[in-house]
Parts: sequence; C-alpha cells; structure tokens
Amino acid sequence: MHRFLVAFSLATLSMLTAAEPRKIFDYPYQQHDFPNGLRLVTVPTDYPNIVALYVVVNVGSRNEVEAGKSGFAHFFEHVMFRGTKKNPPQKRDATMKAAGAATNAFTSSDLTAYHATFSKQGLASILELEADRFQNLDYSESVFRTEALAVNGEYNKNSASPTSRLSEKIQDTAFDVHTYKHTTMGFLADIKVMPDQYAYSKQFFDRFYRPEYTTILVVGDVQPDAVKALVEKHWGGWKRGSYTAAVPVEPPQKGERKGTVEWPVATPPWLAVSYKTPAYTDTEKDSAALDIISALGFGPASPAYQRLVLQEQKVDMIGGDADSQVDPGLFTVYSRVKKEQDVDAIRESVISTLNGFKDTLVEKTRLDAVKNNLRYRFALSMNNSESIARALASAIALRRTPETLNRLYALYDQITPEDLREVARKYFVADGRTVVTLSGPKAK
Amino acid sequence: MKKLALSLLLMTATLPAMEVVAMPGQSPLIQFRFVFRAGSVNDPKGKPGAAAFTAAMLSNSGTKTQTYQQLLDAFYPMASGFGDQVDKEMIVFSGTTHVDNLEIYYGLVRDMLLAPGWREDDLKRVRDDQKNALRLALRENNDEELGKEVLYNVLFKGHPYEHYALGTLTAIESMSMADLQAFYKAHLTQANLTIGVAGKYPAGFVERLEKDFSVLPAGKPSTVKLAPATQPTETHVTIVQKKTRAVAYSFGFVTGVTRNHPDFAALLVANTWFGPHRSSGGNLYQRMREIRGLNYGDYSYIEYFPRGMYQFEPDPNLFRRSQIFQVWIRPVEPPTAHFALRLGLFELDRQRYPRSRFRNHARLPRFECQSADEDQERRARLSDRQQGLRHF
Repeated sequence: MHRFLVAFSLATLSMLTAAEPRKIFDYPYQQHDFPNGLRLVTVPTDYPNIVALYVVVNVGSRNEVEAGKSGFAHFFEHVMFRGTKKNPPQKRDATMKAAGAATNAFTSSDLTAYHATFSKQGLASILELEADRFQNLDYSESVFRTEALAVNGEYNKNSASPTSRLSEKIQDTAFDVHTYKHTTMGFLADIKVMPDQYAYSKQFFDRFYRPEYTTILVVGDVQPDAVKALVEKHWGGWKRGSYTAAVPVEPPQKGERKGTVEWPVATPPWLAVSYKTPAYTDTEKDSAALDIISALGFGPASPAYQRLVLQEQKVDMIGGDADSQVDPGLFTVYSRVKKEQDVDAIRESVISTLNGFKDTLVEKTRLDAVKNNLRYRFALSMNNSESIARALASAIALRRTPETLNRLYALYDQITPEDLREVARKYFVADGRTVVTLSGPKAK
Repeated sequence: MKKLALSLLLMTATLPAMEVVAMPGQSPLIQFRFVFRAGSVNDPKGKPGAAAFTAAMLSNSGTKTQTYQQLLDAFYPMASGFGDQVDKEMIVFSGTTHVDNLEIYYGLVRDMLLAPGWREDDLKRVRDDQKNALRLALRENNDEELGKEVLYNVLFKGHPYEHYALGTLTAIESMSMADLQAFYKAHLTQANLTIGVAGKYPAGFVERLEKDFSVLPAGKPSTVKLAPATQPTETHVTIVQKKTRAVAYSFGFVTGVTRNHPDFAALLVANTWFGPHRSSGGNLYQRMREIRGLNYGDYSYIEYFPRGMYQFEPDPNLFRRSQIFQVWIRPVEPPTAHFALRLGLFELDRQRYPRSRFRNHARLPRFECQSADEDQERRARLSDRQQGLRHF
C-alpha cells in the first residue's frame, strides 16, 4: 500500500517541469453507479485502520426555490439526526460510539454532506445505520419543532460575527431571483417559521433524499469490492425519485449595486467588492483563471497585499475568493480596513487592481508561483483519510466525481497570461459589480 | 584528572538541554513544531501579553537578511507558512512543508526563530494585529470565546493564570521592541525548547536541527511556581453586557486535576457521558438541545479547549498545570436565557449528586437572589462588566 503514497509524492516533484500530464488526485479509486442512481466512490489509502465515510446529497440552499423556505436544506440536515423506528437517536449514538466515530454534517449552497470517521471494524454497522436513516427517516412533529429552535440557535451563535452579516448582505444585494440570494442558513424570517413546516419537511425528504441525488464516499483502510457489496446490500433497494428543482436563472446584472450593514458595536469597517462570475467549469478555463486571479491579485505574495497590509498598513486582512458553484456566483474581494476614512481609497485600490489584469499581462514567474501554490496547497491538505474525503465531497457537489479535480488542476497548468487578461475583461465589469460595506456606530 | 572529568560530566548532565522528538515516516509532508516551555505566566509585571506579542513578532516578521515580504514571497509557491500559538505555559511555532521544498522552507523558519529582523515597520503592523485579535476577534465578534476566557479570568483571580495570553490593549500599546527582545532572550532558550519533526526528512536532518538550534542561549527553565487557585465559597456571577441577539454562558470551577492526577481517567469518563465536545451523545446536549431546542449545543470540558466553535479536536501543546471543569452553553435567546442557565446547573448537580441531594439546590437560590432585585442587579452588572472586561 505504501506505493500509493510514494507515487503521490513523486507526482508532485518538479511540478512545472514534468512533460506528461500529472493528476493532482492520483489515488486509485473505484467509482460505481448502482441501477437506482446511487453512486459509490471508494478510495483506499495507506492510513491504517481509519475509514472516512461521506454521504453527499446534491441538495443545498441552491435548491430552495420556494418563497419562505430558504435555509431548509440546512435545517433538514439537522432533522436527519432525529433517527428512525429501528434506530432512534440513542441507539444511533451507541452504534457510532462503539466504532469510536466522530460524526457530523454540513450544508452549503450545493450540497449536504453527512460524515463519520471511525475504525474500519465499524464500517458494516455504520453503512447499515446510514442506509436506514436515508430510507426510513422518522420523526414526530414535536421533535421537528424542537430541532427548528436549535437552527435558530445556530443563527444566533453565528450572528456575533460581522462576516456572517456581510455575506448575507452581499448575496441579498447581488442576486435578484436566483436562490444564491440567500445564504445557506436562510433568511432569518424563514428560520423563525421553520417550526411550522413539518408537512413541507416530509415533502423535502421525499424530493431530495433519493439515490440519484446521493453519492457515497468511502476513503481509508478499505477494500473497494467489500465496500461495494455492503452498499449494495443496504442501499441497493432505495427507490429512485423524480423531482428536479426549477432553479431560477439570474438575469444579467445591469449596473453597479451597493449595500451597507450597520453593525451595532464598534468595529473596523469591512469592505466587500464582488463581481458576477460564471458557474464552475472544468472544461473551460474561466473558473481556473478566476481562482488564479484571486491569488495573484490579493494573496500574501501579491503587490496589493504588500502595499496595503505591509507598507501602508491600512488594512489588516485582505483576500480574494472565486465561488466554485453549480450556478453562476461571485468573485469577491474582502478586506478589513483599519480606519473608516480609508474605505473609499481601498475600494478604488481593489477595483483598479482587478482592472489592471485587463491591460497588463502577468509575469510568467508570478503565474508559476501561484500554480505551484495551488498544487502544494492541495498536496498539503491530503494528509489523512478524512481530509481526502472532505476534499472529494466538494468535488462531488459540483460534478459527482473526483475526476473534476484532475480536470481543474490540469486547467490551472494550462492558464496563460493571455487567458487571465481575457477572463478579467469578460467579468470585471462595472455593471456586474456589487460593493458592500459594514461599519460600526459612527463616532459622536 | 579523573575527578575533573567526572565533575565536567556532572555539569553537562545537569545543564538543561533542548529535546528533539523525531518521528520519521513515509509522508512527504514534513511537519515541524518548536515548543518552548514558557508562556503568558512569564509575562513581566505590567506587561501582560509579552509572550504572545513576542511570538507573533517572530512568526509574522522578517529576519536579519530578509524582509517579511520576501518571506511571504518565498513561502507562497510552497503553499506553506509558519504560525504561533501562545498559552499560559507554552509557546509553539509550527508549520508544514512538502519534502520537495524542505531545504528552502527550513532555512526560512530557522532564521525566523534564530535571527529575527526586529524591524520597526513589522512591529507596528504586528502591534495592530495583536490589538485587533484581542479587541475584535475575541471581545467584539466572538461572544462564546469571550465568555470562556472571562471565566478563566475570574477563576484565576490573583493567580499567574489570571490574564489572557494576548494581554491587554494598554499593555500591547505600551510594549517596546526592547521588551519583546528581552522576553525572547530570557525565555526562548535551549532549556525550554522541544523540537518535534515528522515525515520523510533526509538522513542527518535531526542532527542538523540540534546543531542549528544550539545557538540559542542555554538558559534556565522558565517554570513559575504556581499556588493553587483560590476556590470560591459561593457562586459568583459575572455578566458581560453586549448588544447581541443571544446570551452565551460559561460556568465552572478549578479542579486541580491534570493528566497525571489519579482522578483524571474517572473524570474523563464522567465528562464523556456528561458533555463531550460537539457530540450529540452527551447528556447535557440531549437535555438542553435535543429535548428543548434551547440553542445550538451544550458541552463540558475538563481541560482547556480554545477555538471550540470552529474545531472538533483541541490543538496540541496547550499544557496547563491547573485545569478547570467548565460548561459551555452556546447562545440562548433572552426569553429562555435564565432558564437555560438554571437547567445547565441543574444537570450538573444531578450528575454530581445523583437522586436526592440535587433537590436541595443550595446554590441556585443564591443566584436567583442576585438577579431578583433590579437595582442590585444593575449595580452588579455595572461592576461585573468592568470586572469582566478588565483584562480584555
């Protein structure tokens, strides 16, 4: 088994000089589609004893198309822990504990992922346990109502952070009709009425918790054929569904938008400058180029970072972030500005930095440094079975296969300075821009 | 001659020396930890935060030969960096590199620790970062962590553990480069140092580490004598008032139980039943969140566990010689906040005094009295608020 690791190590040597294409994710893995639409991806690793299981459902806040139902995918993630007739929560906890499992779940715009990391001896019992809740979830209205209160509690605990409010405002301002208008948590008004949505929750489960929406990822000390047999046994009888959410298409933005958030206590202002960008693609260069621009423009080795953070010291945090999502999203530059009076100048700096990519070709050495950074960052994150499974879960949300990672990183390698210029000209336009600022109470 | 040789040998044996913990393996990721047995307990009088400021200065500044920007440019293609963690008793510097880049990476971090640049522009920036970490990351934007740290602050009043590792805004503002250099010289010594290295590093690398780091002063262990923390005789309530949507609680007491205490294993089992971190299996979580939906989660701890709202496992190297038991009740909406606190105390008492004794509830009415009288409560809030934030 050690040969996997060695092969991986060799693959990252001399990253930009190898002549043949190199796969960023080069663990041998088995991908299998069952007749009901369920997909299984098994990745044996040489990390002993541990198995990471991720059950990824391709439903997230993106699918929340009905008015008043924002945040439901995330809420439903909570409901999934309320057990079945055969495995009520306490029995479920006991099974997990017996395998020494660390288990939880998370939701984003494009996925809901249920994960557990445990000793390999627990694989059979945990696969059976998970199959039971995905097919036979059973909860009363009273526990449903209680769980809705816990979601409200989650909103409350997040609410102390200004960046949560900032994200809410950016999305609400930048989007009109697409469901990316709300965050994964949902609008607060919708969270407040969640306790009354019991009937809808049954419908939600019936629509999305179906094999064609689901991919099972098993990473670690496992044999693919044995895993396949277990999944066949426990998940093979799961019935396919028929629902597809009609996610509205966001019309092109016409004109710059602005938003402000008044924060109740003193804070240095936050500034977010966003541009509309395309959906994630692993066949065109757009997504890869935007990722590279975010690093070149605002990463710690960028001229903007050098000037604003290190020399002028006007901001203490700055960074770019290009969404990788199923539908068109945003490219956002976040910064925390030390003094209120500098906000306008920093906004202009951010905009002119991005405009600079439209006119000036990036030096090849800087571009190569970013490409190396992207590859090494990935390599450094792959240091245990759980991390590998988590990285793959994000890929599953986008294309339902680890192969999309290899395609994306191959595109990173191909990006030229001219590609960056073209992408910058295409997307960094004033009409697609949204600027949001968050400030504390004005000094009296 | 023989006598002399013997006494020399004895001298060598009693000199404190650095230790290298080497964990060779097949992983191409080489991990470093430089752990100094010194921390905020060693902050000089009137300079709380000196340890943290010094460590931040080392891990976020240039070296004698390279500016910080040059370091960032060099780290960038390797997608690596170098960070610090400072607590009461330990200062840790850590980082990971792919073995491809080991030579360059090691050269950078070695110089950051052994040949710091001490530049004024770095000091200015790091000072701002320290103030923002204290003022924003803790005091203003993270009620949960603030609650926990205020609890430590109250429980260790008058003790070397009292102040938060980042110090106070006033102290951060007033410390000079000379203060940081003095701390560096006094405490970042061989006597305090343990180096951890893991991964597929080349032969001879450990010897090279030992040789390079032997340029640090030999020094003496920085261990500070610790008196036991004073145990309060009755429940003490500290209220930190803020404009927020909800109320976060932390409560607890000093146990004196560390990992070498005979009760540790039993306490660990009890705590795993009562309130294991971020686990839905704990009794407290079941009673407060699963049955009543009061909030997002409720847990308990027998060892220090900062950043628990983001992490499932605690960071290593947060060693403390005095630990507390604490309950963490995540934010609760105001109408149910008082009940949530009482329920948390009730569940704790139920575990401590099964069946009959918890019904007496000697502690709860006292808390009730304290908040029953509006004027008294208001006065208490004002003084407590000042007290609670005195150190932040």
